[in-house]
Amino acid sequence: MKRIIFLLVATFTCSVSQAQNKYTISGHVVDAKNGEEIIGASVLLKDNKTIGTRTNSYGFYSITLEEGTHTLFIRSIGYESRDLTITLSGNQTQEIKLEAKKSELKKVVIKTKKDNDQITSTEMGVEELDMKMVNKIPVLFGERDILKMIQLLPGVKSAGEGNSGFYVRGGSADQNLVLLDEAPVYNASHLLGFFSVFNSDAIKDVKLYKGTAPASYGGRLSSVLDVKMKDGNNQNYSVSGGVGLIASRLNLEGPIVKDKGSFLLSARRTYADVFTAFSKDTNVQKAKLYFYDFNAKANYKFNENNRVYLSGYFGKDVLGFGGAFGINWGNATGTLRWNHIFNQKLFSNTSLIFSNFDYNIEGNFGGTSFRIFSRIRDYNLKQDFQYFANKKSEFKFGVNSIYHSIIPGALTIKNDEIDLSVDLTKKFGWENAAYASHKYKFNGAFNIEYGLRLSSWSNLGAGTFYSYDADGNQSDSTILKKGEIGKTYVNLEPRFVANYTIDDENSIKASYTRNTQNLHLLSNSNGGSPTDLWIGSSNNVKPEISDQVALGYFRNFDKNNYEVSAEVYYKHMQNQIDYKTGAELVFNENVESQLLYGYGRAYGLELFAKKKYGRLNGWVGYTLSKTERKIDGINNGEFYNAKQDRTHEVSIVGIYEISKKLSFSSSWVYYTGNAITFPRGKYTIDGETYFLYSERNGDRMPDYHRLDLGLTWTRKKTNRRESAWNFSIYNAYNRANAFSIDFQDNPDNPLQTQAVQTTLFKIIPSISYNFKF
Amino acid sequence: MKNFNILLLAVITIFSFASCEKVIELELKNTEPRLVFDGKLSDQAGPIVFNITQTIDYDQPNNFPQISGAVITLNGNNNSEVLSEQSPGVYWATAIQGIPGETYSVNINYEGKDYNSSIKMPLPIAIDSVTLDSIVTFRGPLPLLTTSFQDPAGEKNYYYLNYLINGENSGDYSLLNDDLRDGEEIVVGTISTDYEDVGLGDTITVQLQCIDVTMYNYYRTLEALNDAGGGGLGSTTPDNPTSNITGGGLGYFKVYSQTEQDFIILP
Repeated sequence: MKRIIFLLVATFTCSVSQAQNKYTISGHVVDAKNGEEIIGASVLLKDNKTIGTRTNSYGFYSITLEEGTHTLFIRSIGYESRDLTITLSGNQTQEIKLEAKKSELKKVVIKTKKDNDQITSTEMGVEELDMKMVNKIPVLFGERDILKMIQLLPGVKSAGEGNSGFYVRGGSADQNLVLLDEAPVYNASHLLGFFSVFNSDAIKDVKLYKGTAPASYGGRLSSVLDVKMKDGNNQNYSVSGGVGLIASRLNLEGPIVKDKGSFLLSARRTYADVFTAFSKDTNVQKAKLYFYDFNAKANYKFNENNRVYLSGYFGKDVLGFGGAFGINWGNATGTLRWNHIFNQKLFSNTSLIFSNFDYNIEGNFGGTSFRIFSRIRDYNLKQDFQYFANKKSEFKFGVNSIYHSIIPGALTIKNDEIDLSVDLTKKFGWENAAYASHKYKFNGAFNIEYGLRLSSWSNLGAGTFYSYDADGNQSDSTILKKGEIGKTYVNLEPRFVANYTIDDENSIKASYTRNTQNLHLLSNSNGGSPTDLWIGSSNNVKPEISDQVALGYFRNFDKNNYEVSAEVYYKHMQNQIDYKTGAELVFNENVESQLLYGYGRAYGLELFAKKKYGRLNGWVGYTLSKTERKIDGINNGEFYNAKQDRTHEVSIVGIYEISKKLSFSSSWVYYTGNAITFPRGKYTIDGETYFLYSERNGDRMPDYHRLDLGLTWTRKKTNRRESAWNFSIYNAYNRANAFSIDFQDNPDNPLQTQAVQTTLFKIIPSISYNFKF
Repeated sequence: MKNFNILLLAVITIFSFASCEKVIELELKNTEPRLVFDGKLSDQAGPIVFNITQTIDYDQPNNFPQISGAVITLNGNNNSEVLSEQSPGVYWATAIQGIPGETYSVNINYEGKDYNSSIKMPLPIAIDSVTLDSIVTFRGPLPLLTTSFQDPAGEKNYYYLNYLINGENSGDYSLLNDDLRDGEEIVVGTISTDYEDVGLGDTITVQLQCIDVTMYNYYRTLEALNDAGGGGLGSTTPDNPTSNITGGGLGYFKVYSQTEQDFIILP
């Protein structure tokens, strides 16, 4: 370990001393129309496109070149590429503006070489979403959703019909780190998963790391979904919004001071309870059910070197039955960021992050009222540095400290006689990390990026921490005073990606990553519930550890118009959690006594072909995979299929531009049914009949497939006014997919048992209207 | 979990215009038959009864084979007795009496395999009161049956309350422990439509059964797994309830003490 750090520092200093007779050009790449910074734009030398850099998450670039005149070539997805000629006689800053790409139809077809980042970058298992495409893909109820979009990518599986939950490369739902402007979102779904918390009006950029995430990210095993909110238009005021079948949206943005600062306010409210009025059940008629989201962001540039961002999200789901019973839950996040440019080569970001998820159940039965409350809350301080040493070498390093507090459950019961409150022990945890990574381009065909993250988790007082024996009885306890540090786990997480670029159109990449996870979500229901409980590592629960190796071949065709890739991966996961038979996870002081531990393995092949330009674009993805768990106490200690184990998975997405105003889109998905435990027999006891189960997850749900169609009709009036109608059909050929299968007595012959399949969504047409002015 | 199910119900209702149900044919794998034990030993009058049946395949009609020829040996009160088979699969012990505080062990031998269990009978606890009220819920007014009794302090206690209407099992029960209420007066309420039709002259009987932890776990897991399976959103992974008999059988050896109280609806 010490040697690695020493090596890092050594490379660092020697690259600094080399920088002579060279100057640095740095600045931001921004959208010419609204001033939004562009993330991940390439800034390259026109003569030699292997030399260059990409803008970071704040749109900042820095490149060091020899004295003299150079032509830079700047490009980004969804923007017109441009050249920029500069004469370097000293360090200089330069803001680069890019024009948003016009319709493909208008363009004279020039056969120039396009983006071949897929070939040359050291990114592996990374997917970026084009937000313009998200808006065109057909979705359930026409409510566009980035989480449903990423499910169409290879290696990413949907948690179920219409569900925004996802599984990445054999990981479970809680093993995804979902970030909104750096703040973790603990429950990224609304309405039990049918919608995500991300209002796509407010989203600028989405990136999913399913393989090797940079060392600056940590804390979850499977993936990182990094969602960035828009900064707001710093040129003009603009209002946009939409009216849909299930929700309406309104978005307001504009400059605070032109070119210096901007703000964004975005809100969404559903009216799902409109549908309950049609129900025959009078109880359901009385039901109240809706959710809303509110995003706000402001930024201000004090000078060239200092910029501050403040962003926040607040969302809530509300469900109630005529005042007698109600539950509400939601996330709140807040991020305060300070970008500071120390010099042309050293970029710094300091973030203060707040994150909160809670739920509240209230009821009133015959004069007795009760309330159950649970919450997880984080305070998070993050310091990141990025050092652009020279045109071949780039460093990132930083530290992160998070204070977690969890209220597992607090119950109060009140009536005329009783005023009772029962609180489960509050839990506190402290998570710390330090990281460093280095990206280096060798002369020739090799590129590497390697990094190391040192992470730790500590239980914090005040509180009593119990240990449990194999039978789940308390065997030992540790009492911590307020602020006192208890059981601590320290882990080293190395990461490594190597790229061997065979030529402009071919490359091979290999990677190894270790991730650890100290926050675990306890959920024994298949779909996940807002009342699921987050717990920290403890005397009993050890940090989850995963080691993943991956190998990929990347190939571009037809001047980078087509991208094809094949990746294989193998992942080994330690200290995985499952549950004892009939585990009590809700409001249980000794919830850790209900857990079982073991390990998991996942491996697979992902094939991906994408057409990036032209009137028709889209992709085809195929995944072949296996995901298994081996837990003491389940399935006689033998390997069994994880529920998200699906052998085959196919997705086809296409968008065709019929005319400047009309575009047609469609997507088709197919996957092997989830692994599930069906009854193998039945028996009678005390006059009742019960099912007999044997092998865990030894059966399969029927295969799933579905076609969605969409049509977007844009009615552009002026340069600033725009409106669009969106028509979509979910499940176009009306396939009866199995949502659940239940076993019950045959009504015609009660001695026989029958299987009844429930289909949740048959064909659903929807319409929405979006506007902008 | 129950709250979640209400939630789910509401959400499903919203989407119900697009959903449907149908009976499907599934090719389910079969499994080796297993023995199922239903053994009860209490401090009440009457013989100790053991019933042994066998599991059948999922697609078979519900005719469960009774298992004859098992040798069941019961030990307790410094006595040992081999149960006699009264009818196929039904075995009786008549010499041994159930006494609270005593430990009873049973050995079942069938086709060369042994199944064992050993359980101490808990001490009985008297019911203090039983009342029937009405309570307003979001489903409208419903009958509320409450039972109260005193929990002994300093020990773990597990209770199974069985409710009868005019001597017949109502199908309703309550299962609880004293984890949060050790040594306190425990009030158990059950809200059920079962008591809606109860009128003048009818009798509701509450049987308070004191059971041991293994039997509590059996009932608890059985209850928790009631909603399991299916693969829907609210479902959990199904499994068999935890038996307190070793050897790979299903079912239980229920050793309990019981007190009861009647609630007669007077004119």
